[in-house]
Amino acid sequence: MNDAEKRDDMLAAEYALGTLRGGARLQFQKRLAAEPALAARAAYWQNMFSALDSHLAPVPPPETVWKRIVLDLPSTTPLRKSRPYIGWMAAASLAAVTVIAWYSTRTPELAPLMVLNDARQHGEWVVSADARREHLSITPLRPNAVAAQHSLQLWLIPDGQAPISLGLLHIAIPTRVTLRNTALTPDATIAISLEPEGGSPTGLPTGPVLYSGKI
Amino acid sequence: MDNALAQQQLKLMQAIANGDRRAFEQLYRLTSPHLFAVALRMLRHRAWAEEILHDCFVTVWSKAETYNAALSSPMTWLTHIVRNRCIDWLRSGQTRAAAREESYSEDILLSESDEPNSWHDDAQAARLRHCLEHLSHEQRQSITLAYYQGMSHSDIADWLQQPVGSVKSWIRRAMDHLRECVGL
Repeated sequence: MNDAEKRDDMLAAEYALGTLRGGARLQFQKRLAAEPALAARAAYWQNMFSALDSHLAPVPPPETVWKRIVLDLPSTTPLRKSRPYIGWMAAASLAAVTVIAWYSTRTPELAPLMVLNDARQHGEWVVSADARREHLSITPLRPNAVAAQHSLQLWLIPDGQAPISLGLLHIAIPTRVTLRNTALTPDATIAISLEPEGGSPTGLPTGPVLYSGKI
Repeated sequence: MDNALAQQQLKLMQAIANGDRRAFEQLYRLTSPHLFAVALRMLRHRAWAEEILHDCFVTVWSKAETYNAALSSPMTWLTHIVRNRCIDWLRSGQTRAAAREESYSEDILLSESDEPNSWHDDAQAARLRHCLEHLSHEQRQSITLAYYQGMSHSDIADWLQQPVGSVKSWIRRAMDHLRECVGL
Protein backbone atom coordinates (compact mmCIF):
# COMPACT_ATOMS: atom_id res chain seq x y z
CA MET A 1 0.00 0.00 0.00
CA ASN A 2 1.23 3.50 -0.81
CA ASP A 3 0.51 6.43 1.51
CA ALA A 4 -2.78 7.39 -0.17
CA GLU A 5 -3.97 3.77 -0.04
CA LYS A 6 -2.99 3.55 3.63
CA ARG A 7 -4.93 6.72 4.37
CA ASP A 8 -7.97 5.38 2.52
CA ASP A 9 -7.67 2.04 4.29
CA MET A 10 -7.71 3.78 7.67
CA LEU A 11 -10.82 5.73 6.59
CA ALA A 12 -12.44 2.45 5.51
CA ALA A 13 -11.57 0.88 8.87
CA GLU A 14 -12.96 3.82 10.86
CA TYR A 15 -16.05 3.83 8.66
CA ALA A 16 -16.69 0.12 9.32
CA LEU A 17 -15.97 0.55 13.03
CA GLY A 18 -18.39 3.49 13.16
CA THR A 19 -16.02 6.20 14.38
CA LEU A 20 -15.92 8.09 11.07
CA ARG A 21 -18.60 10.71 11.66
CA GLY A 22 -20.19 13.85 10.31
CA GLY A 23 -19.01 15.36 7.04
CA ALA A 24 -16.11 12.93 6.72
CA ARG A 25 -18.51 10.00 6.86
CA LEU A 26 -20.87 11.49 4.27
CA GLN A 27 -17.95 12.24 1.97
CA PHE A 28 -16.66 8.70 2.39
CA GLN A 29 -20.07 7.25 1.55
CA LYS A 30 -20.16 9.28 -1.65
CA ARG A 31 -16.73 7.98 -2.63
CA LEU A 32 -17.82 4.37 -1.94
CA ALA A 33 -20.38 4.56 -4.72
CA ALA A 34 -17.78 5.70 -7.24
CA GLU A 35 -14.62 3.82 -6.16
CA PRO A 36 -14.82 0.00 -6.23
CA ALA A 37 -11.37 -0.40 -4.63
CA LEU A 38 -12.46 1.70 -1.68
CA ALA A 39 -15.73 -0.23 -1.41
CA ALA A 40 -13.69 -3.44 -1.30
CA ARG A 41 -11.59 -2.11 1.60
CA ALA A 42 -14.70 -1.02 3.50
CA ALA A 43 -16.20 -4.48 2.93
CA TYR A 44 -12.96 -6.08 4.16
CA TRP A 45 -13.23 -4.22 7.47
CA GLN A 46 -16.97 -4.82 7.75
CA ASN A 47 -16.38 -8.54 7.31
CA MET A 48 -13.62 -8.45 9.89
CA PHE A 49 -15.64 -6.59 12.51
CA SER A 50 -18.73 -8.70 11.89
CA ALA A 51 -16.79 -11.51 13.55
CA LEU A 52 -17.23 -9.51 16.77
CA ASP A 53 -20.93 -10.43 16.52
CA SER A 54 -20.21 -14.14 16.37
CA HIS A 55 -21.43 -14.83 19.90
CA LEU A 56 -24.31 -12.38 20.02
CA ALA A 57 -27.48 -14.19 21.11
CA PRO A 58 -30.40 -13.46 18.76
CA VAL A 59 -33.44 -11.57 20.05
CA PRO A 60 -36.69 -12.09 18.10
CA PRO A 61 -38.33 -8.72 17.38
CA PRO A 62 -42.07 -8.34 18.07
CA GLU A 63 -44.36 -9.31 15.19
CA THR A 64 -45.62 -5.71 14.86
CA VAL A 65 -42.30 -4.75 13.27
CA TRP A 66 -42.88 -7.09 10.35
CA LYS A 67 -46.49 -5.94 9.95
CA ARG A 68 -45.38 -2.33 9.75
CA ILE A 69 -42.67 -3.19 7.21
CA VAL A 70 -45.28 -4.81 4.96
CA LEU A 71 -47.51 -1.74 5.26
CA ASP A 72 -44.68 0.56 4.26
CA LEU A 73 -43.47 -1.32 1.21
CA PRO A 74 -44.22 0.62 -1.94
CA SER A 75 -47.32 -0.66 -3.71
CA THR A 76 -46.65 -2.95 -6.64
CA THR A 77 -49.84 -1.91 -8.43
CA PRO A 78 -49.39 1.23 -10.52
CA LEU A 79 -51.47 4.20 -9.42
CA ARG A 80 -54.28 5.19 -11.67
CA LYS A 81 -54.30 8.81 -12.72
CA SER A 82 -57.90 9.49 -11.90
CA ARG A 83 -60.67 7.55 -10.31
CA PRO A 84 -64.32 8.49 -9.90
CA TYR A 85 -64.92 9.31 -6.29
CA ILE A 86 -67.99 7.04 -6.07
CA GLY A 87 -65.77 3.98 -6.42
CA TRP A 88 -63.28 5.61 -4.12
CA MET A 89 -65.92 6.04 -1.44
CA ALA A 90 -66.97 2.43 -1.77
CA ALA A 91 -63.40 1.47 -0.96
CA ALA A 92 -63.43 3.86 1.96
CA SER A 93 -66.59 2.38 3.40
CA LEU A 94 -65.05 -1.09 3.33
CA ALA A 95 -62.20 -0.06 5.57
CA ALA A 96 -62.62 -0.83 9.21
CA VAL A 97 -63.23 1.76 11.87
CA THR A 98 -62.25 1.65 15.46
CA VAL A 99 -63.53 4.28 17.81
CA ILE A 100 -61.33 4.49 20.81
CA ALA A 101 -62.43 5.58 24.23
CA TRP A 102 -62.14 9.16 25.34
CA TYR A 103 -59.68 9.53 28.14
CA SER A 104 -61.70 10.24 31.25
CA THR A 105 -58.80 10.61 33.63
CA ARG A 106 -57.29 13.55 31.79
CA THR A 107 -58.98 16.51 30.21
CA PRO A 108 -56.77 17.41 27.27
CA GLU A 109 -57.79 20.15 24.93
CA LEU A 110 -58.10 17.59 22.16
CA ALA A 111 -59.35 14.09 22.86
CA PRO A 112 -58.94 11.08 20.59
CA LEU A 113 -62.05 10.65 18.45
CA MET A 114 -61.25 7.83 16.09
CA VAL A 115 -58.50 5.76 14.54
CA LEU A 116 -58.06 5.72 10.79
CA ASN A 117 -57.26 2.22 9.65
CA ASP A 118 -56.13 0.78 6.42
CA ALA A 119 -57.80 -2.29 4.95
CA ARG A 120 -55.55 -4.55 7.01
CA GLN A 121 -56.89 -3.05 10.23
CA HIS A 122 -53.63 -1.74 11.62
CA GLY A 123 -54.47 1.48 13.40
CA GLU A 124 -52.20 4.07 11.89
CA TRP A 125 -53.58 7.57 12.44
CA VAL A 126 -55.42 8.97 15.45
CA VAL A 127 -57.90 11.77 14.86
CA SER A 128 -58.42 13.95 17.92
CA ALA A 129 -60.96 16.75 18.23
CA ASP A 130 -61.92 19.42 20.71
CA ALA A 131 -65.31 19.31 22.42
CA ARG A 132 -66.95 21.43 19.70
CA ARG A 133 -65.26 19.39 16.95
CA GLU A 134 -63.90 22.48 15.24
CA HIS A 135 -60.22 21.76 15.81
CA LEU A 136 -58.74 18.47 14.76
CA SER A 137 -55.35 16.93 15.23
CA ILE A 138 -54.29 14.03 13.03
CA THR A 139 -51.41 12.10 14.52
CA PRO A 140 -49.48 9.29 12.84
CA LEU A 141 -49.05 6.43 15.31
CA ARG A 142 -45.85 5.55 13.53
CA PRO A 143 -44.15 7.66 10.88
CA ASN A 144 -44.66 6.16 7.46
CA ALA A 145 -42.38 6.47 4.48
CA VAL A 146 -44.02 8.32 1.60
CA ALA A 147 -42.08 8.72 -1.64
CA ALA A 148 -40.82 12.26 -2.29
CA GLN A 149 -43.12 12.78 -5.27
CA HIS A 150 -46.23 12.04 -3.19
CA SER A 151 -48.24 13.76 -0.48
CA LEU A 152 -50.89 12.50 1.91
CA GLN A 153 -54.14 14.47 1.72
CA LEU A 154 -56.89 14.52 4.33
CA TRP A 155 -60.56 14.49 3.32
CA LEU A 156 -63.87 14.95 5.05
CA ILE A 157 -66.74 13.17 3.29
CA PRO A 158 -70.17 14.18 4.68
CA ASP A 159 -72.62 11.31 4.27
CA GLY A 160 -73.73 11.14 0.63
CA GLN A 161 -71.71 14.18 -0.45
CA ALA A 162 -68.50 14.87 -2.34
CA PRO A 163 -65.18 14.81 -0.45
CA ILE A 164 -63.93 18.11 0.98
CA SER A 165 -60.17 18.59 1.20
CA LEU A 166 -58.85 19.35 4.68
CA GLY A 167 -55.31 19.85 3.43
CA LEU A 168 -52.06 17.93 3.34
CA LEU A 169 -50.71 15.89 6.25
CA HIS A 170 -47.31 15.91 7.86
CA ILE A 171 -45.91 12.40 7.62
CA ALA A 172 -44.15 12.22 10.96
CA ILE A 173 -45.76 14.79 13.26
CA PRO A 174 -49.35 15.71 14.16
CA THR A 175 -51.21 18.00 11.75
CA ARG A 176 -53.67 20.53 13.16
CA VAL A 177 -56.78 21.30 11.14
CA THR A 178 -59.45 23.89 11.85
CA LEU A 179 -62.83 23.24 10.25
CA ARG A 180 -64.37 26.30 8.60
CA ASN A 181 -67.68 26.28 6.72
CA THR A 182 -67.91 22.57 7.33
CA ALA A 183 -68.65 20.33 10.29
CA LEU A 184 -68.01 16.83 11.51
CA THR A 185 -71.54 15.60 10.98
CA PRO A 186 -72.57 12.14 12.18
CA ASP A 187 -71.88 9.45 9.59
CA ALA A 188 -69.22 11.55 7.89
CA THR A 189 -66.09 9.71 6.76
CA ILE A 190 -62.55 10.93 7.30
CA ALA A 191 -60.02 9.55 4.86
CA ILE A 192 -56.42 9.93 3.77
CA SER A 193 -55.47 9.49 0.14
CA LEU A 194 -52.13 9.26 -1.62
CA GLU A 195 -51.78 12.20 -4.01
CA PRO A 196 -49.14 13.76 -6.23
CA GLU A 197 -46.72 16.04 -4.38
CA GLY A 198 -48.56 19.18 -3.29
CA GLY A 199 -51.98 17.54 -3.28
CA SER A 200 -54.73 16.54 -5.67
CA PRO A 201 -54.71 18.70 -8.81
CA THR A 202 -58.48 18.28 -9.28
CA GLY A 203 -59.84 19.15 -5.83
CA LEU A 204 -61.09 15.58 -5.49
CA PRO A 205 -59.13 12.50 -4.44
CA THR A 206 -57.17 11.08 -7.37
CA GLY A 207 -55.01 8.44 -5.69
CA PRO A 208 -55.84 5.36 -3.62
CA VAL A 209 -57.39 5.80 -0.18
CA LEU A 210 -54.84 4.56 2.32
CA TYR A 211 -56.73 5.09 5.59
CA SER A 212 -60.30 5.90 6.45
CA GLY A 213 -62.83 5.85 9.25
CA LYS A 214 -66.41 6.83 9.89
CA ILE A 215 -67.40 9.13 12.72
CA MET B 1 -20.58 -19.36 7.88
CA ASP B 2 -22.52 -22.48 7.16
CA ASN B 3 -22.26 -22.79 3.40
CA ALA B 4 -25.84 -23.92 2.77
CA LEU B 5 -27.08 -20.98 4.84
CA ALA B 6 -24.92 -18.56 2.87
CA GLN B 7 -26.20 -19.97 -0.41
CA GLN B 8 -29.79 -19.70 0.79
CA GLN B 9 -29.31 -16.05 1.74
CA LEU B 10 -27.70 -15.27 -1.61
CA LYS B 11 -30.64 -16.79 -3.46
CA LEU B 12 -33.06 -14.80 -1.33
CA MET B 13 -31.17 -11.56 -2.06
CA GLN B 14 -31.39 -12.21 -5.80
CA ALA B 15 -35.11 -12.98 -5.58
CA ILE B 16 -35.72 -9.81 -3.54
CA ALA B 17 -33.90 -7.73 -6.14
CA ASN B 18 -36.46 -9.13 -8.61
CA GLY B 19 -39.35 -8.06 -6.40
CA ASP B 20 -40.15 -11.38 -4.69
CA ARG B 21 -42.02 -10.52 -1.49
CA ARG B 22 -42.03 -14.09 -0.16
CA ALA B 23 -38.25 -14.17 -0.39
CA PHE B 24 -38.20 -10.85 1.44
CA GLU B 25 -40.26 -12.27 4.28
CA GLN B 26 -38.01 -15.34 4.46
CA LEU B 27 -34.93 -13.16 4.70
CA TYR B 28 -36.62 -11.15 7.44
CA ARG B 29 -37.51 -14.29 9.40
CA LEU B 30 -33.98 -15.61 9.04
CA THR B 31 -32.01 -12.50 9.87
CA SER B 32 -34.14 -10.16 11.99
CA PRO B 33 -33.42 -11.79 15.40
CA HIS B 34 -29.69 -11.29 14.89
CA LEU B 35 -30.09 -7.76 13.47
CA PHE B 36 -32.48 -6.80 16.26
CA ALA B 37 -29.87 -7.93 18.80
CA VAL B 38 -27.25 -5.79 17.01
CA ALA B 39 -29.53 -2.72 17.15
CA LEU B 40 -30.49 -3.35 20.79
CA ARG B 41 -26.85 -3.60 21.78
CA MET B 42 -26.07 -0.25 20.18
CA LEU B 43 -29.19 1.68 21.21
CA ARG B 44 -30.17 -0.06 24.48
CA HIS B 45 -33.71 1.04 23.84
CA ARG B 46 -36.28 -1.44 22.57
CA ALA B 47 -38.60 1.01 20.79
CA TRP B 48 -35.68 2.63 18.96
CA ALA B 49 -34.29 -0.74 17.91
CA GLU B 50 -37.71 -1.71 16.51
CA GLU B 51 -37.84 1.56 14.58
CA ILE B 52 -34.37 0.94 13.13
CA LEU B 53 -35.20 -2.63 12.14
CA HIS B 54 -38.35 -1.43 10.38
CA ASP B 55 -36.52 1.35 8.50
CA CYS B 56 -33.67 -0.94 7.51
CA PHE B 57 -35.89 -3.63 6.02
CA VAL B 58 -37.90 -1.08 4.05
CA THR B 59 -34.49 0.10 2.73
CA VAL B 60 -33.42 -3.47 2.00
CA TRP B 61 -36.52 -3.99 -0.13
CA SER B 62 -35.80 -0.96 -2.28
CA LYS B 63 -32.01 -1.32 -2.42
CA ALA B 64 -31.63 -5.08 -2.76
CA GLU B 65 -30.23 -4.71 -6.27
CA THR B 66 -27.29 -2.69 -4.91
CA TYR B 67 -26.09 -5.67 -2.84
CA ASN B 68 -22.80 -6.95 -4.21
CA ALA B 69 -22.17 -10.62 -3.43
CA ALA B 70 -18.50 -10.26 -4.36
CA LEU B 71 -17.90 -7.83 -1.48
CA SER B 72 -19.72 -9.28 1.51
CA SER B 73 -22.18 -11.89 2.69
CA PRO B 74 -25.84 -10.83 2.92
CA MET B 75 -25.57 -10.91 6.72
CA THR B 76 -22.58 -8.56 6.74
CA TRP B 77 -24.34 -6.23 4.32
CA LEU B 78 -27.51 -6.22 6.45
CA THR B 79 -25.54 -5.71 9.65
CA HIS B 80 -23.79 -2.74 8.08
CA ILE B 81 -27.14 -1.16 7.11
CA VAL B 82 -28.43 -1.60 10.66
CA ARG B 83 -25.24 -0.23 12.26
CA ASN B 84 -25.23 2.73 9.89
CA ARG B 85 -28.80 3.64 10.80
CA CYS B 86 -28.04 3.22 14.51
CA ILE B 87 -25.12 5.64 14.19
CA ASP B 88 -27.37 8.20 12.47
CA TRP B 89 -29.93 7.67 15.20
CA LEU B 90 -27.40 8.10 18.01
CA ARG B 91 -26.17 11.33 16.44
CA SER B 92 -29.61 12.92 16.30
CA GLY B 93 -30.19 15.59 18.94
CA GLN B 94 -33.61 14.15 19.67
CA THR B 95 -32.05 10.90 20.82
CA ARG B 96 -29.59 12.67 23.07
CA ALA B 97 -32.37 14.67 24.73
CA ALA B 98 -34.43 11.52 25.22
CA ALA B 99 -31.44 9.67 26.61
CA ARG B 100 -30.96 12.32 29.25
CA GLU B 101 -34.58 12.44 30.28
CA GLU B 102 -35.60 8.82 30.17
CA SER B 103 -33.82 6.00 31.77
CA TYR B 104 -32.86 3.26 29.40
CA SER B 105 -35.04 0.21 29.57
CA GLU B 106 -33.54 -2.09 32.08
CA ASP B 107 -35.27 -5.14 30.74
CA ILE B 108 -33.12 -5.48 27.69
CA LEU B 109 -31.24 -8.65 28.28
CA LEU B 110 -28.49 -9.12 25.80
CA SER B 111 -26.45 -12.14 26.28
CA GLU B 112 -23.40 -13.62 24.77
CA SER B 113 -24.22 -17.18 23.97
CA ASP B 114 -21.67 -19.90 24.63
CA GLU B 115 -22.19 -21.34 21.19
CA PRO B 116 -21.17 -19.25 18.20
CA ASN B 117 -24.09 -18.37 15.93
CA SER B 118 -24.11 -19.76 12.43
CA TRP B 119 -23.71 -16.39 10.67
CA HIS B 120 -19.99 -16.18 10.93
CA ASP B 121 -16.97 -18.00 9.81
CA ASP B 122 -15.72 -19.66 13.02
CA ALA B 123 -12.11 -19.59 11.88
CA GLN B 124 -12.29 -15.89 11.04
CA ALA B 125 -13.96 -15.06 14.37
CA ALA B 126 -11.35 -17.05 16.29
CA ARG B 127 -8.56 -15.28 14.45
CA LEU B 128 -9.99 -11.84 15.20
CA ARG B 129 -10.38 -12.70 18.86
CA HIS B 130 -6.80 -13.92 18.94
CA CYS B 131 -5.60 -10.67 17.33
CA LEU B 132 -7.67 -8.54 19.71
CA GLU B 133 -5.88 -10.18 22.62
CA HIS B 134 -2.61 -8.66 21.41
CA LEU B 135 -3.96 -5.12 21.66
CA SER B 136 -3.30 -2.95 24.69
CA HIS B 137 -6.15 -2.66 27.17
CA GLU B 138 -7.00 0.90 26.01
CA GLN B 139 -6.90 -0.08 22.33
CA ARG B 140 -9.18 -3.05 22.84
CA GLN B 141 -11.57 -1.07 25.01
CA SER B 142 -11.79 1.73 22.41
CA ILE B 143 -12.51 -0.73 19.59
CA THR B 144 -15.19 -2.57 21.51
CA LEU B 145 -16.91 0.61 22.78
CA ALA B 146 -17.01 1.93 19.21
CA TYR B 147 -18.26 -1.30 17.67
CA TYR B 148 -20.65 -2.55 20.35
CA GLN B 149 -21.99 0.75 21.69
CA GLY B 150 -21.72 2.87 18.55
CA MET B 151 -19.59 5.42 20.42
CA SER B 152 -17.75 8.21 18.59
CA HIS B 153 -14.16 9.23 19.41
CA SER B 154 -15.43 11.90 21.79
CA ASP B 155 -17.98 9.55 23.41
CA ILE B 156 -15.18 7.09 24.13
CA ALA B 157 -12.96 9.90 25.44
CA ASP B 158 -15.75 11.00 27.82
CA TRP B 159 -16.39 7.44 28.89
CA LEU B 160 -12.75 6.66 29.60
CA GLN B 161 -11.99 10.20 30.80
CA GLN B 162 -9.07 10.46 28.44
CA PRO B 163 -8.17 13.04 25.77
CA VAL B 164 -9.82 12.56 22.36
CA GLY B 165 -6.36 12.56 20.73
CA SER B 166 -5.35 9.51 22.77
CA VAL B 167 -8.51 7.65 21.78
CA LYS B 168 -7.90 8.41 18.10
CA SER B 169 -4.36 7.12 18.23
CA TRP B 170 -5.34 3.98 20.18
CA ILE B 171 -7.89 3.17 17.51
CA ARG B 172 -5.44 3.83 14.67
CA ARG B 173 -2.78 1.66 16.22
CA ALA B 174 -5.33 -1.05 16.90
CA MET B 175 -6.39 -0.97 13.23
CA ASP B 176 -2.77 -1.19 12.07
CA HIS B 177 -2.27 -4.22 14.27
CA LEU B 178 -5.49 -5.92 13.18
CA ARG B 179 -4.69 -5.35 9.50
CA GLU B 180 -1.33 -7.10 9.92
CA CYS B 181 -2.50 -9.78 12.33
CA VAL B 182 -5.68 -10.82 10.50
CA GLY B 183 -4.05 -10.27 7.13
CA LEU B 184 -5.32 -8.92 3.84
